[in-house]
Amino acid sequence: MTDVLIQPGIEKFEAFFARRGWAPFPFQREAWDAYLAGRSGLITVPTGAGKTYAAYGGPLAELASTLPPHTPPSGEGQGGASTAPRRRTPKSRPRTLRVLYITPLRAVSRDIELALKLPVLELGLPIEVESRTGDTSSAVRTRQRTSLPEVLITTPESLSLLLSHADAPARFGQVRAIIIDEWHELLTSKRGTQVELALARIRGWSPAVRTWALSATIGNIADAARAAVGALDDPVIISGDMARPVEIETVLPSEPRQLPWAGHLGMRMLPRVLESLDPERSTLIFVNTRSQAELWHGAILITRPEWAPVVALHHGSSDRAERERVEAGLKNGSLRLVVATSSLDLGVDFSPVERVYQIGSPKGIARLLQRAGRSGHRPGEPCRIVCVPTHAMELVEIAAVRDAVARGSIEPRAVQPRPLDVLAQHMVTCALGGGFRPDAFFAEVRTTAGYADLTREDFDWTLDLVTRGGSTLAAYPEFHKVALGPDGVARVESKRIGQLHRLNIGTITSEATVPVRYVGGRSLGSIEENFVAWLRPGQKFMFAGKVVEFVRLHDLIAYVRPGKGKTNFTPHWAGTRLPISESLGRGVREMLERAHAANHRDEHAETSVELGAVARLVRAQAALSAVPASDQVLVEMLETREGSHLFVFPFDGRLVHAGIASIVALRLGKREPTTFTVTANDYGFELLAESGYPFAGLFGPGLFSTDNLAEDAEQSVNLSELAKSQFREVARVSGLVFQSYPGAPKSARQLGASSSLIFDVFEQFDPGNLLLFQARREVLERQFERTRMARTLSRLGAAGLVISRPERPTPLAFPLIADRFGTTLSHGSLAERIDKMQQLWDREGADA
Amino acid sequence: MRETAVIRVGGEPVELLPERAVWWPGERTLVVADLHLGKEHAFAASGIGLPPTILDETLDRLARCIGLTGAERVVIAGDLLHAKIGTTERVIERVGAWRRTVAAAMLLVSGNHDRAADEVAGAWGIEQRGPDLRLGPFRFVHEPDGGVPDAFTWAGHLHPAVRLAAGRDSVRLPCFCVGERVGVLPAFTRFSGRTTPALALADQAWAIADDRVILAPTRVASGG
Repeated sequence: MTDVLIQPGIEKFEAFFARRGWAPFPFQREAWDAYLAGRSGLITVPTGAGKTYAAYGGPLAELASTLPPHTPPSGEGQGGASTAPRRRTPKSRPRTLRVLYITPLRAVSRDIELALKLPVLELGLPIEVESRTGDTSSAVRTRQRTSLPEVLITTPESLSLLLSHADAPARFGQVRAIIIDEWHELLTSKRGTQVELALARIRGWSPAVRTWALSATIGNIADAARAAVGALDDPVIISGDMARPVEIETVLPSEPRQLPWAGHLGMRMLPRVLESLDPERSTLIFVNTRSQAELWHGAILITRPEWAPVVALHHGSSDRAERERVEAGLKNGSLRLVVATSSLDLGVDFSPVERVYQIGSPKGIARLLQRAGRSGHRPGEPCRIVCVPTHAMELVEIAAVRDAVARGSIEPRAVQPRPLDVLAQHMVTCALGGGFRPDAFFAEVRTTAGYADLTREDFDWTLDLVTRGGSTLAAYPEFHKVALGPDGVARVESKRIGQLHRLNIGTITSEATVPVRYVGGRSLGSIEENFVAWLRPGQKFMFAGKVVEFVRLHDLIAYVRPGKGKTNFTPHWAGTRLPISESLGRGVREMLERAHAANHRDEHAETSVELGAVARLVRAQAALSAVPASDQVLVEMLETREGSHLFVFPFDGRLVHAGIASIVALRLGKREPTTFTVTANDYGFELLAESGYPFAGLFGPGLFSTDNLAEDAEQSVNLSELAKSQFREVARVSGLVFQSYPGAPKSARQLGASSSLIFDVFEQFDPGNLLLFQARREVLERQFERTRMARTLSRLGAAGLVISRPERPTPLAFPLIADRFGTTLSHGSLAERIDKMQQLWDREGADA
Repeated sequence: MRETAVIRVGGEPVELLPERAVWWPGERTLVVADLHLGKEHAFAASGIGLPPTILDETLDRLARCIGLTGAERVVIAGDLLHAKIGTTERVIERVGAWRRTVAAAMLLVSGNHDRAADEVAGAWGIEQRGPDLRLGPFRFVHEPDGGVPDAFTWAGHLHPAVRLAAGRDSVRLPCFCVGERVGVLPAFTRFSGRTTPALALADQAWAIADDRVILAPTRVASGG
């Protein structure tokens, strides 16, 4: 390609801008030029700044300039281009896929389609723009089976599906540009890994392709860029210097005493929030959990019934049609107060609102910035967010976020390390889509960031799993999916296996949920299986903003009827509470030190309003125990009627604390066996043992050692149920368990094949299975953030430990006691535990 | 340290084995229930791959029980099989080969999962009896009922389990449930998810903790 060919195209694109009265931003020109110069890269600018056209301009210009010359230029007759291309059959003009646009959200694919079509229509280009997602109509699918449009918008799952067709190499062989939207979101998930693998495949077929990722601001943007373009390319990073100032406002209680020391629902702040809400102005109220969303939505309706027509609820478990209704209502202005969880965090083309509230800690700096970015309209205009603390320590978190935003310090995001389940799925996909030669395929897979250090051994193990079911499943022909032909190419020979695999490709994200329906029929959304197990018929709970009464569970559908009266009972959805980020944790430690120092000098003028409001709490903490400096870790030991308590406060997030707590429990238990009740929150953890447990005597530096960390972590994780539920996902993604299996006499759940049963069976009968290791590793990483945990432990080893023996629970310890959920960890073999139990029974028997 | 429990029911001493079987020395008879042979193959047919060594472990353990006791007869109180679809050629052959190494007579009281029993009984040398089988003071059924006045009833079907607790520790274990007229055996297979809380079933629950059988104190044991 030469400039002579290209320039006319970009001029056209500029003309399109001019016609709409827009002037390209410098970063957009920069991106166009870089693309046309043959580069790949990443564009990071705030939401709403025009990322999409920055990435799309170059590819469209190139496409326009390479169109076959015989194509009639568009007259007014082609103004009906919106309908004309749709009727055109592939026979009249062969279509070739040139631009692939990947979005993690199929809900916004329609908006993206319109945005990408706009310049095509206005410039009268004979280019077809279509979507391919789970929602695409069968007519369009059929047409796409023959040929793909020039510009295709798709999701990671649908892309994998397209790669599984035998003619995939030919259909993707002419792709020139790949654009990945919301890359910062995809990056850290297995869906991101799936995208990395798919792109490596496409690059093999079309070496000239250039990849452009769109990302929000994150701390490790260079890593993200490299993961997007793969190891064989060198990315350009384009960041529009158009940061919008962020204004953070905090709602303080009218009396500082009104803010409790514990709790996370924040209902006490409701009156203060209601005072400032205005039903005339579009407002998003972000909360951290789905149950909190239900409660806030319910409370607003009860106190302001007259607002009902403009109030709505949006969370990941509400029915999809309902969520779309809410999104549309926000857009057209008919809904103005929407209570939402992170389900509304995504979606580039989501229209901005006038005001944004954050109830409770945002848990991360990037997250707060993203939510704040929803407010305001024009680039350059400040965005505002109102933070509402739910307990006193959250004031410190808000102060830390404010400080970090001012310094521009934002969290990094890491890719998934070598998930073998995704690789197994990808192998079958590629074996279907034209087949692969193992050696070349191994090299190709290693060009992705996720598998850069994949060993040949693990690759071969995975290949063995999909070819003969591995050592475990060799007995079942159902699991001999891929066969290595005499020509050295791995392919899928069985038609049925191909069908099954395609049916199960989209299963990376789904959870074990059951639909919730009215007895009369209407669907309300979905709910976690575990929660249903807790329900009794007749029990009332809040769901989708309504009070409903549980009727029965039948054929894995939870039937409900409208309930009367009120209830505070809401479903709890596991895993929806994010821990505070590492950067924010560090910030909180610094803020505490700052607040303590200010107390000492008795001056709060130079600190923030939040720290001023939390001065009393910090003073109480100092009086009862101690306030650690930011490089210290506070340890508190005390005896109460409940038993012996050990509190440790690293301020490193709930997950890390839960992990360290189980490791410390394991190590203590080796020295002096007992059963601990373990509680963790974002600030620290508590181990509770029987009265007189000698915490102080056993306490030493070895307790936090990083030696044997992996082994100790594995051992302590073995004791928890977490690996089991993680294994469910691993088993499903890898194809060990088919989610959807037509012709099966019964579904997995009807069979009672719970994740824990499957995990137990594998652990007993096939303990060497690598997928078990992966499940454990993922649990460690996901549930305990192992990498971060290792850093925390090193810090605990190096930091000055401040050991204090308060007489009663301190303000820092109080939330742990109040929120105790009582995970018990026992140490010793089953035999030792039974012996101990028998001794206890004997003792109790003698007492009686 | 293997520990069994000897109890007297229906006037006869019997031994509860941690291998999940009852040994009735008076008649040199071993009693088991709920083997669910081929269950993992039934799962595979529904797209769930599980290690097929489950079958080997079940058969090995049954052979070990017979060897340890010198049983001349085995009574299976139902659910020898899991499902028709799981009773594959492979399973039929594997069990048939195993059966040829075991001399004891085998009697099956058919359970609700035994719909394919007719097809394998011949090949495996198993005599089908039932719906209830009387031997001496005992009556064997699959699904426990209220019992009868003139015999002690042994049953399976429920896969009983008991939760033992003391202090803050607690653990759920498979168990034998022994009431006045009816006893329920634990599922012989270790591949079993659904269980029934013991407390609902009987006066006494004997829990299996690895290789020991211990009496669960009713005070501390709770359901599920």
